[in-house]
This record gives sequence, structure tokens and C-alpha cells, in this order.
Amino acid sequence: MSNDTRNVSPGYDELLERGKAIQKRADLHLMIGCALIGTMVLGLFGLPFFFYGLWLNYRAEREGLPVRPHLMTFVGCLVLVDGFLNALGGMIDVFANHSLIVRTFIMGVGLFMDSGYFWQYNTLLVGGASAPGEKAWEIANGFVLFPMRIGAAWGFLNMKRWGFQWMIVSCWMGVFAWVGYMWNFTTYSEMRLVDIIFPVYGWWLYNIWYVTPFIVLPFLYTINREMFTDD
Amino acid sequence: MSENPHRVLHKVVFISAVICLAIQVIEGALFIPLILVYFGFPQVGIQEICTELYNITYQDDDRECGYPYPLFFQDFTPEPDHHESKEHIYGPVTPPRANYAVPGWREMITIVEARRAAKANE
Repeated sequence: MSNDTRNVSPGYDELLERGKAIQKRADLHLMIGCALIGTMVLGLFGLPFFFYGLWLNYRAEREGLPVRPHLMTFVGCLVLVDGFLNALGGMIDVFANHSLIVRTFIMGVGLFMDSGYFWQYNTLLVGGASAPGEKAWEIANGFVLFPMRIGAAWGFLNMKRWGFQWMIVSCWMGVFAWVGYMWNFTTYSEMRLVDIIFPVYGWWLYNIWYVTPFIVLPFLYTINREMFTDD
Repeated sequence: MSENPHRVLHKVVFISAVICLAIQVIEGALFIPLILVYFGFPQVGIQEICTELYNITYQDDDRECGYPYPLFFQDFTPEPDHHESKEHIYGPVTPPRANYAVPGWREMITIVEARRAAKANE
């Protein structure tokens, strides 16, 4: 880039540098915010970081600095938050199923809308949810798919080509996970969706917002991949 | 800059992404407080809520949310074994014991022949 003299007007390099610096700062705040929101328990502390990151990006765009387009920021953050929430959600149920807050929260969620996380909680030798098949999905999604999506979203937000490619790969894996999870969930619906506070509609109201792969895929296939750097 | 041929699609994606993101953020941040408040926090402590939830799911008023729970396993006995079974109330817990009479190597022949003989004798 340094030898490229096209489009160089006074202050162009400086603008580029400023845009880059602001982008880096915004991304740092977005990442911290998304990670904290993803922990759920500390979610409230993540909100200020997250909104500050969004606002930095928005302000830089308003000033005409060369920052990432806001659509891309929202898509990247959507996948990032989705990845963090679900990865940590699965992991706390696998690893921290006897901590007080996790037991209260997960059994509370279970009694709210999905008895799979309430019925016989901590019964099996590997604690946490005892619902048939649920542990397998927690481990497959929480240890493979969602960490991959976090990495992909991070690369995507940094406009790396590998990030873009892994977004596509992990979004298709997300489609697979939705279909598999939904069938497992529905197969045991008689156990999971009865005698709870907010049955079927509660589950959908809570979970429909995680259909990110279906939103993001059409976008990924209709953008110019030359925007993403090769390194 | 040329016109984006996917303008409408990208608008739909943008609106959906913003809505989903906003709701995920709100859910992520506020769902634990909501659950605690629903069950009566702060008048009722977290440990008491947890214990009550245990009592509901096991239909057993003696279950307690032990806190602090030991960091490492004290013994590898599954937790339910420490308590009186309530399976007569809520039915079998996964994984159920199958108790199959598993046929041995080509034992199926004897089984089927015995069945055929029994049928022929009817």
C-alpha cells in the first residue's frame, strides 16, 4: 500500500490512520462487551462497553472516516454475541452445574420454558441437564460450533478473508445444529414442554432470536468478498 | 460507487440483525435478574430459591442446594443415590436399565425353533 499513490489526497493517509485507530478502539469495546454479555451473569456490566463500541463506530462513520460499514458491524456482533451466549451457556451447564448461581439460573430457565433444563437436574454422573440428547448438543455446540463462530465473527469483524470463509462454514454448521437440536427437542417435547410456566410460546419467544445463520447466510453470499484482506 | 443490486435484501438483513442483536443483548443481560425477581429475590435468597427448585424437580422436600459445593469430587457416587428414590412419582430417570435377554452366538436359532415348536403344538 505504501507505494500506491492513487487516490492520495492531502490528509488521506492521516484519515486512514485515524479510521484504523478508532476502529481498533471500537472493536476492543465491542469484543469486551460481547464477551461480558455472553457470560449472562455479568451481562449488565457488558452493556456500557458494547454501546460505547457501537457509538464509536457510528460517530466515526458520521465523520466520514474509513471504518467498517455498520451493517457488517451488526452482522459480526450478532454472530459474536450469539456465539458467546450459547458457548458459555453450554459450558456452564457442563462444567459449573453445581455452582449456586448456575443451578438457580439454569433450573429457573428450565421451569420457565424448557423442562429439559429442570427435569432431574444434576441427576446423571455428568451433571447439568439430564434431558435425553441435550448433553450431546451442549458439547457439540458449546465446544465446537460456537467457539468456531466466535473466532469466525472476530475474523469477519477484522475484515479477514478467513473470517469471511469461516463465517460461511460455521453458519452452515449453525443450520445443521438448528435442525438437529430442534428435532431432538421436539422428539422429547412431552417431557420438555409440559407443566412449566411458559410452554411452547415461551421457548420460541426466547430462542427465535438465535436464528442468526438464516439471517447472516443470505448476506454473506451477496457481498463482495474482495473487501476482505487475504492475510 | 455502483448501485448495490442486493439493496432490499441487505435492508432486511440489517433490520433483522439489529432486532435479533438487541433482543439477544437484553436477554443476555437481564434474564438472570428476571428469573431471580420472578422467584422472589431479594426477599428470598438465591440459595433458598435453588433449594425450592430442587424440591420441585425431585418432588422431595428434603433436597437442598448445598453451598459452597466442594470444588473437587468427594466421591463419585451420583448425586441422586444420596437420596431416597422418588421414581414411583415421576417415573424412570434416564438412562433406564434395559434388562434385555441378549441372545448369544447363533442362539436365535434355538429361540426361533422353540417358538416354532410351541406354535406347532397349539
